Amino acid sequence: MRYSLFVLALLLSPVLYAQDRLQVLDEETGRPIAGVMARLVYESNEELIISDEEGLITLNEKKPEQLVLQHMGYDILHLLGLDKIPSQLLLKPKATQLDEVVVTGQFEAQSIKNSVYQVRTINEDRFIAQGANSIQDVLSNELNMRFSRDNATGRAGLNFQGLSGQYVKILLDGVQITGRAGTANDIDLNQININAIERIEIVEGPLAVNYGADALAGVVNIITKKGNGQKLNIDLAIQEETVGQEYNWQGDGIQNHSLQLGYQIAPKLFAQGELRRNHFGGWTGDGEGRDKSWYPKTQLFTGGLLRYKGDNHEVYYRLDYLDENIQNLGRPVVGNGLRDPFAIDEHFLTQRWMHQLQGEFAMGEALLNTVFSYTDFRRNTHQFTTNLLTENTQTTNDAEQDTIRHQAYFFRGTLANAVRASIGSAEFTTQIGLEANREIAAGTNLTDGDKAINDLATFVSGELSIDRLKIRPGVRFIYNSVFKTIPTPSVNLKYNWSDRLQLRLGYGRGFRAPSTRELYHEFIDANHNILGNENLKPETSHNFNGDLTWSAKKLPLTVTVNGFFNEVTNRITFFIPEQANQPTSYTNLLDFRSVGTNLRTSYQKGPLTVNAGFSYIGLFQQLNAEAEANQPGYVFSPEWNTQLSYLWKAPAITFSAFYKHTGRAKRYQLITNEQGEEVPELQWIEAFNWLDMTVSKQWESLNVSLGVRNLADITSVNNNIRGGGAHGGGGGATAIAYGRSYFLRINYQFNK
Amino acid sequence: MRAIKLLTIMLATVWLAACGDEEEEAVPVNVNFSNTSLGISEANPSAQVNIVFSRALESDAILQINVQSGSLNYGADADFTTIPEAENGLIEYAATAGESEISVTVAQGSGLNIQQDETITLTLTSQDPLVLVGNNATATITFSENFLAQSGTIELNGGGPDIPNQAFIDFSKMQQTTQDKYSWDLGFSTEAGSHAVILNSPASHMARPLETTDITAVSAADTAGFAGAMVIPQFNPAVGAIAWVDAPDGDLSQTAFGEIAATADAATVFIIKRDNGDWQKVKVYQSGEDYTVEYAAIDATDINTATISKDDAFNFTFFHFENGVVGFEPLKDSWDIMYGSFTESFNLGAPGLNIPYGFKDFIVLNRHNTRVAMVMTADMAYADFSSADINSLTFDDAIDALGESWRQGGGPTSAPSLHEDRFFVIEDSEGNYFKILFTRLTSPTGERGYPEFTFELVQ
Repeated sequence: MRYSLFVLALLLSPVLYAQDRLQVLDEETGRPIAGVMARLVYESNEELIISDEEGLITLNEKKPEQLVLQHMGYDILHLLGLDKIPSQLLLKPKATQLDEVVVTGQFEAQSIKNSVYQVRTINEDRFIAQGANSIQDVLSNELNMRFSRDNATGRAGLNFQGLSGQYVKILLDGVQITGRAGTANDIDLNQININAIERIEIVEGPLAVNYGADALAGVVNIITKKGNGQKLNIDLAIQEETVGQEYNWQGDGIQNHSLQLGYQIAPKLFAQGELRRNHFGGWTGDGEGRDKSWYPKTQLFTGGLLRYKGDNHEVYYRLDYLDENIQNLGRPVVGNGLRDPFAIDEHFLTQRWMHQLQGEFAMGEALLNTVFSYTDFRRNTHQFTTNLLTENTQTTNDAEQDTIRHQAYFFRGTLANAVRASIGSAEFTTQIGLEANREIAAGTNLTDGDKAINDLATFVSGELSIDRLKIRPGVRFIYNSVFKTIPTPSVNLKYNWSDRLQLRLGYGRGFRAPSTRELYHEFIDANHNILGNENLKPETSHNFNGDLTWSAKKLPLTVTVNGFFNEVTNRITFFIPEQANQPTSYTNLLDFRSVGTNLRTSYQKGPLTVNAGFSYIGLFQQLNAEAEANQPGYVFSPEWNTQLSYLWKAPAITFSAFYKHTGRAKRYQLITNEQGEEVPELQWIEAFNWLDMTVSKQWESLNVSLGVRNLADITSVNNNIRGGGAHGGGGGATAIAYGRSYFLRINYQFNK
Repeated sequence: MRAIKLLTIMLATVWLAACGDEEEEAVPVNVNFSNTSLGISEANPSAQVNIVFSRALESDAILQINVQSGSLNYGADADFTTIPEAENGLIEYAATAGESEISVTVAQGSGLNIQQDETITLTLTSQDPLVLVGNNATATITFSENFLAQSGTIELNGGGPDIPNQAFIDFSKMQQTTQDKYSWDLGFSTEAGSHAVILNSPASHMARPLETTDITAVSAADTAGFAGAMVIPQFNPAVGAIAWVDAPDGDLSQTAFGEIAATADAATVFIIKRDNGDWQKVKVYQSGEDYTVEYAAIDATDINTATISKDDAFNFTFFHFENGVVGFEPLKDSWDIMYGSFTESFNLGAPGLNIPYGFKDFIVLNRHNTRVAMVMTADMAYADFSSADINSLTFDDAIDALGESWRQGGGPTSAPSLHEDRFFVIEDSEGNYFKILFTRLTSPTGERGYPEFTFELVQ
C-alpha cells in the first residue's frame, strides 16, 4: 500500500529562480524542505545533491533524463522525460501514522484514524532501519511485547499484554498460521520470512468476532508485499552479523541472504518470487567447542505470488515454504579410548507449506472477500550419534525420535455492505461472514492415531455511524467437533471529538481453544505420566479496552493513551487426580487477570522522527483452586521505549536508535515453606535495557548499513527463581541474549 | 551496474565458502582387548576375553590371536581350551562387517591340575591395513584361586534407556551379573538378632501404614487419596511421602516398614504400591529369628501367608508376592556395587523438606563392608593415585554414597553427562582398594542404560 501512494507532484509555472536552481517545498505548508536528496540521472552518469536550508538544489546545466527526489518525511517523487527543469517542486508529506491504511478487523481497508480498533503498524522501513533478521528483532522493541527464548528450538515465545504466546493470534494476510502446536497456539514468529513483509498490524483485544479463537491478548497480522506498482523490481540483500564475539565466513555468526523479484507480466497480472536463507551459527555461551548453548539454525524460505487485478475484482495466490534445520551438537565423549570418540546430536527439522488463495470482488456497494488456505506443517526431532572420526551417524533409540504433522484447511468468506441504510446523518452498514476450518494432527506423541478437529463459524457485525459517533456490535457463533463453544459478542465504539481527538471504547469476549497437545498429548516415562484430556473446554475471556488519541495542532505530534483489562477464566492447567493410578492430565480451573495502561507519542519533523512510550502492566494469577482468598494481588511491571531516527543531509546518512527498558518481571509461584505449607512467593526476573543503533548510507540504488545490536551487552539477568526447589534461597540467571553484536547489511533495490 | 557486479561477487563468495567440502579418507578401525588381565578359578571355570573395535567394522576382517600357553597344555582334555579353537597356538578370527565387539572364551580343560598360579597370554595382530591393533594388544589369563583383577573396563548393563536391570559388579573378579529389577518386592534382613524389611527401591515401591492391624478388613475404601499421594516423584513434601520409602542411605532403622512387630496382633497393615500400579496389603512380623509375611491384593479377603528365613551368606532374603522367595543380590562377598535405578530422598531447599524421587543411572554400594571416597582430579590425577594416597581420603559406607554423584542429570535444554572432574576409590569387603573412572554415560550409540567405567587395583 505504501508504494501505491506514489503521487505525482504539481508542477508550478512561475519562475522564481534562475534555471540552474530548483526549490523543493512542502505541498501542505509551502515551506522549503531541507535535506531532500535529489538524484539526477544523466545518460552516462548520476549525480546526488542534497537541498539546503532554503530547499534549494543547484543543478548542472545539463538536463537530466530522470530526477528523483527523496526525503524520509515525504513521498518519493520520480520524474522522467523532463522537457525542462521546473523551478519549484512540491513534495507531499508522507502519510502520518494515523492516515495509514489498515485491514485487520475492518470491513474494508481504511485509515487507522477511522478504524474502530486501535491499530499499531510497523512498516518494512523499520525492519530495514533496525537490520532485523526476524520479526522478534523488531517486536521486542515494542511496548507490551516481551519474548522468551527456547534455546533448543530458537523459537520466539511472544508475551503480549502479560499473556503468553498461546493467547496471541498470529495471522498472515488475515489467515491463521500453523505451527508446532497446531493452528491455534504459540506460533514461532521467527519462522516467517521477513522479506515478504510489507507491514505488521497489531490490534490489542480479542477480535474474536472476526478471527475466532486464541486472540485473547490481541492479533498480530502480517501483511505481505503484493507489488509496488513498478514494471520490474529487484531487491537483493546480504547481511553479515556477529553472534556476540563469534563470527567467521565459514558459518559462525549470522549470514542472511535474500532475493526478491517482482514483475508486472501484463497490465492486470503481477508475479513475484522470494528466496531467503537465514543462517545462525549458534552461540557457544556456557558450552565448549561443538556443544553450544544456543543451537545453530538454518532457515530457507521460498515463496511466490501471482496476482490478477481486474476492474472490480482482485485474486491472488500466495505460496510460502519454510525449511528449518536446528542442530544440537553434543559434547564429545572420548570414553576409555578403545572406542572412537562420539557425540549424541539432535536435529530439529521443520517444513511448512502454506498455500493461500484470496479474492476480493466488488458487487455494486457490496464487497465480497474469500480466502482459501491449506497448510502442511511437519516437525521432526531426530537424535543420533555421530562418530567424530568418520562423521558417520547412527540413529538412537525410537523413544528419542519424534514427528509431528499438522494439516489445516481454512475457508473464510465475508460480505460487507450487503445491507446498507442511511437515515439523515445516520448510516448503517454490515458485514457477515462464514468460516470453516479443518485441522488434522498426527504425531508420535499423540494418543492413538490421527486427530481431526472441525470448526464452523458464522459471524455478523453492524456499524452505525451518527455524525462523530461510530458503534460496531458483532457476534460470532461457533460449532466445534471436539469441544463446546460459546457465542462471542463484542461491541466497539468510536467518538471523534474533533479531527484531532478520538476516543475508542471496546468490549470483547474471547476464547482460547484447547491445543491438540492439551487434548491428545501422551507423555509417559519413569517420572512422567501425562495424558491429554479430550473433555477440555475452551478458556474464555472478557476484555475491556479504551484509548484516546490526540494530534497536536501546531506540532507534528501524536499522543495515544490506552488502557485495558483482561480476565481469563477456565484456564487450562495441569491436574493431578486423587484416584488410583490415573495419569496427570489437564483441566479447566484457574483464573488470570491482567490490567494495564500505556502512553505512546510520536513526533516527526524534517529529518527527525521520535517515537516514545511508557507502559505499566499488572498481572493477577490464581495459583490454586482451593484458596482464592489467599492469592496475592496484582504484580506490576513497567516498560518504556524510544525510537529515534535522524537524517544527516550532507552525506545522506541516517542514524537510528532503538531503546527499550523492560521492567522487572514478577509473578507469584507456590513454594513449600519450612513448615511444609504451600505459600505464594514473589519471583522476579531483573529489569534490563536494550539498545540497537544503526547508521546507513545510500548510494544510488545501494544501501549500506552498519549496526550494533544489544549495545548494553546483555547475556542474562538475575532472578530469584529456585531451580526446581533443588537449592535453597538462591536464584539463578535467565538467559536473554548472546551479548553485543555487530552487523553489516548491503541492500540493492532496483525499480524500473 | 558496478554495484550489481560487486554484489554478485560477494554473494558468490559467501555461498562458495559455505559449500566447501573435502573428500574423506577411510579412517582405520582400532582393535583392542577391552581388558588385559582376567582370571580363571574353580568358581569361574571360564573367562570371556572381549575384543573391541573402535567402531563397527565397515567390512569383514581377519584377526590373528596368538595363544602363548606357558607351561600349560592346550586341549579340552588337557589344561585349557579356547572358543574358537586355536591351531598351533593361533586363533584365526573372522570378524564380519557390522560387528563392534567379539570375544574369545578361555576355559579350563578337564585335565587341569595345577599346584601354583599359571598364566597364558593372548596377543592380537592384524594384517588388514584398515584394522590396526591398539595399545591393549595382549591379555593375560591367570589360572588361580586367588585371582585379583589388576585393571579392567566394564560397560554396565542396565538393559536400555528404561533400565529394567540392576547390574552387580565384583571388581576383584571383574564380573558383572544382571537381574530383572521387578523380580522382587520385599527384602528381609538376614542380620542375626534383628528384624528389618526393605522395599524394592529400584522399582519405586512405596509402603504406607494404615491404622489397623486387621488385614482382612482392609479394602480399597481405606485407601482413598492414596493414588495421588503415593507417587514418585511426589513434589509436595507436605504429603509426607518420604516416610513411605526406605532411607536411601541404607539405614535399616529408617525403613518404611520401621520396627518389625513381634506378634501378628501388633503388626500394622501396610499398603504397598508396586511400580506397575498394582496395590497390595501386607503385614510382617517376627517368627523367632525368621519372619512371617501376610499379603494379598487390596480387595482380596483370602490372605496369603509365607515364612521367610535368613541366610547369612546374603544381605537379604528377597521375596516376590507372586513368586515367593527369589534370588536377587549375589552372595554378599561377591559384589561391590549395584547399578540401575533407585529411589532417593530429594531435598527441596529447607531442612526436612524431602521428597522421594526416582533416579536412573544410580549406583548403590554393597552394605557389607564396602566403602567409597570421591577424589577430584583437580587435587589428584587418576593415573597418579596410589596406595600412599588412601589415608588422605574420607570413606563413606552409606549405600547411596556413590549414588548419582558421578554424573549430572541434565535439564530441559541439556543432556545428562558425566562429571569429568572426579573419580572414585572403593574398598571392597576383602580389603582391596580399586580406583574407578567413569568414561561414558551412554552406549557408543547414545543409548541410556549402558555407562562404562575403567578401574584399577590401587597399589
